[in-house]
Amino acid sequence: MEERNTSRKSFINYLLGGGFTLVAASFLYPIVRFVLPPKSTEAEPMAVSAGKVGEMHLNSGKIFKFGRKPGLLIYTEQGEYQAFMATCTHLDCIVQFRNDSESIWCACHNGYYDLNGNNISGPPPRPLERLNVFIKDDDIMVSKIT
Amino acid sequence: MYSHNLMKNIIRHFNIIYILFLFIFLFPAIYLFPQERHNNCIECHSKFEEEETSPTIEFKNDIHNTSGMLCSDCHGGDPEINAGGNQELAMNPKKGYKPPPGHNEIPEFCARCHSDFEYMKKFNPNIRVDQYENYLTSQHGKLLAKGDDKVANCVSCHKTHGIRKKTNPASAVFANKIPETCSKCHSDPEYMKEYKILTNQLEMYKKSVHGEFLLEKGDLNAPACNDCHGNHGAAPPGVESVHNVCGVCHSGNNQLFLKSSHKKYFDEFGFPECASCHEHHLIKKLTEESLGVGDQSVCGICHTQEDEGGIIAVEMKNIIENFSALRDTCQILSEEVERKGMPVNEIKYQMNNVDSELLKARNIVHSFSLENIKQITEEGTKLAISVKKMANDELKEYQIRRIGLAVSLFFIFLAGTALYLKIKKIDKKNIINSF
Repeated sequence: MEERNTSRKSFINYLLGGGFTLVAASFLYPIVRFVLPPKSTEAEPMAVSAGKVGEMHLNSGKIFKFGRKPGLLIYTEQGEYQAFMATCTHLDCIVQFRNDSESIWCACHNGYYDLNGNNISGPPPRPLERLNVFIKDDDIMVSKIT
Repeated sequence: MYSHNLMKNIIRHFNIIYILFLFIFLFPAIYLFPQERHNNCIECHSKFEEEETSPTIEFKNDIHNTSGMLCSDCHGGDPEINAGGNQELAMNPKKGYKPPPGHNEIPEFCARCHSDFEYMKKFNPNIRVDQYENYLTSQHGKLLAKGDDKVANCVSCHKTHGIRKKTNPASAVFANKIPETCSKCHSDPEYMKEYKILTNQLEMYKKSVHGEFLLEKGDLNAPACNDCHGNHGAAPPGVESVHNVCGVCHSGNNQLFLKSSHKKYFDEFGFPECASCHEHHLIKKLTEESLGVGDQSVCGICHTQEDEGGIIAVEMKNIIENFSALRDTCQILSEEVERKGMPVNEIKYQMNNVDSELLKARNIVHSFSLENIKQITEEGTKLAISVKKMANDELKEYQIRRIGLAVSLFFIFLAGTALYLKIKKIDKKNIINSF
């Protein structure tokens, strides 16, 4: 009878210990996940790094990620940085920089913008959304114009 | 003593000095600051019956009035004379007065100033002065020259005395007012009867992709009647000009079409190029259904299931439909990922690329080349598959988290039960010990 009681007692103790350990783990897991940074930011970014100073050639452009949307960074012949949202104002295709014509081009319907983002030919009805560019340390930072 | 005499002389000749002062300083000021020209025409005509008063009311906001012009600048006569109601004095032919021009005289009447750059550049150095010249080449102008007094002239579109700048939203030729303005005549079957042309253009235009953007979405850059037919030189574009007219905006599609095998055959059969598939005023936004040779197909107008073109059209339809279906699946999955609160930024970002590729694939149809379509859709399909995988991975992760939560809840319940049993046992032991 004594032996049966001891076995029951130890079973409850194991159950209790194990249960508490797992409860603690279920509390700790979200804390650890919170402390470790996520793979990507989900919120609409205020500013992102579009590249490093010196990595672009004059008269070139590159696409960068601005939240869920693509952005276009241009390093002009005059050595200035210009940035725009890279979605065409016609049907949201992704535009690209054309160094041969020093313009921004949408391959979907052959729409053109000048280097100030103004729609100059083809179907685009409006200029591209301009972004603010500033240099912070070695980063070319891009932010929305508020 | 000397200064005392000088003062006396000045006082004596004060009147002469005063007049000289007025002459030297105030007389030129009259020319420097000209007085407002008095317009007696408005004063008298506003007292007359409705037919005469309406111009005076409309003229208040007329661009000519706001630019400082008077009735007499167009009609002649002397508006500044105090005629005291004597119209013979004010509307004196000797002072250049001419009766209002007849319907067929209006274009020439307006052109007296509007074709004179020397005169017009005072108001706007970049102003166009070729309206009359263009008008003479228009269908309206040609018929007017033959004596037709029903065709549109300047005032039919711009109004007579309420003319506003085309950039003024109240103007009858403001971008989004143009379809209604043209339809005043062109949608009237009775009025248009003798010209034997359709009168459903506005009805069709409202259903078109251009009409949807201009009239419903308020996009003032969307084309209206004048963008395809011309403004003052309005005429139907000839069959051979259609690709050029559409190509003004849709230059990419135009280039693809010109290089395509279809150009030669369209020319041979006299098909109106873009309008053969998209129609003219209806300007249909075609879908995958328009490819192939089915009921909704435009390829099927010329091709059958058996001929080579028909076989290619069916294959094009299948390729784009498959890609489009895959894109839709990705869209549904990405929305599900978002709804479940899982990270979706990368998926949404890549969806932009998939959408771009789908648009390119739909656009490259204008090359009528199966090879081109395959090339674009292959790239797009690869992208879409990777997006689909990312979305499925996130949904799997969501399932793992749900199962994890269930397991965790089970253990919490188990720990609670064990705690309850332990407390019960301790209580029982304490009761026994107390005895």
